[in-house]
Amino acid sequence: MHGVIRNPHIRKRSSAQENKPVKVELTASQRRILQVLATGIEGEPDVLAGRP
Amino acid sequence: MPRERTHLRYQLYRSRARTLAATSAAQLQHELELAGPTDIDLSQVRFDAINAQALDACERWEDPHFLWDEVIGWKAKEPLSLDIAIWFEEELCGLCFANPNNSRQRIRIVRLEGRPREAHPLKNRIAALAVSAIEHYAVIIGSRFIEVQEPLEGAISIYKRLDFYEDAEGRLVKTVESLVS
Repeated sequence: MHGVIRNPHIRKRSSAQENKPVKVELTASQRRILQVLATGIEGEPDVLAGRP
Repeated sequence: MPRERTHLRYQLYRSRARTLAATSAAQLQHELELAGPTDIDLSQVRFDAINAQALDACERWEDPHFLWDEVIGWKAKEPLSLDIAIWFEEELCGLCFANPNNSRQRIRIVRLEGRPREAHPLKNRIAALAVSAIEHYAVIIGSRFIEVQEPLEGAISIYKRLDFYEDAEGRLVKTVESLVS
């Protein structure tokens, strides 16, 4: 019986790392969009672009 | 087969833009939760293509303003276009179609609609979510501007909250910033 050969380059991730969201690199403009997203924009109409 | 390669490359770009938008929303949710309790769980937001599942869910919308199945034909004709179905868990809350011009310098938001008439979990957040995904796509393909095609009067103020402005020719546009590394 052979023992399990482990790849020394593969590290087991901790559960704390797994629960942490992946960080996305954002422009300043994208960060501002997220600030607006957090609160929402009151009175947003259903149709936002295009002519029905 | 350059056309086929372009088609596949942009399919990857679209997918990446949608994934980045969803990850950004989840990241925002994480930050909001660190600050205190929140009234919405933005980690449940999903961005997908306008596919058969989205069209099926759209059929259950009460009196939508557009025939969204037209988008299937547009997607075939415009390989660089970006179609977005905005979901909250299993509920379809918004649909969007945007298309870059030939030079890719400008992406036009051709259609954007939130689920009409009925309340939904992403009410008042559809424009921000759609613009977030489109802006990720714009950064990926190197566009300089996002433009709203035919914005209705009541929607202009919404876009201005998202950094859109009227350019010298009266078009409602937003300048795309590039990532500084």
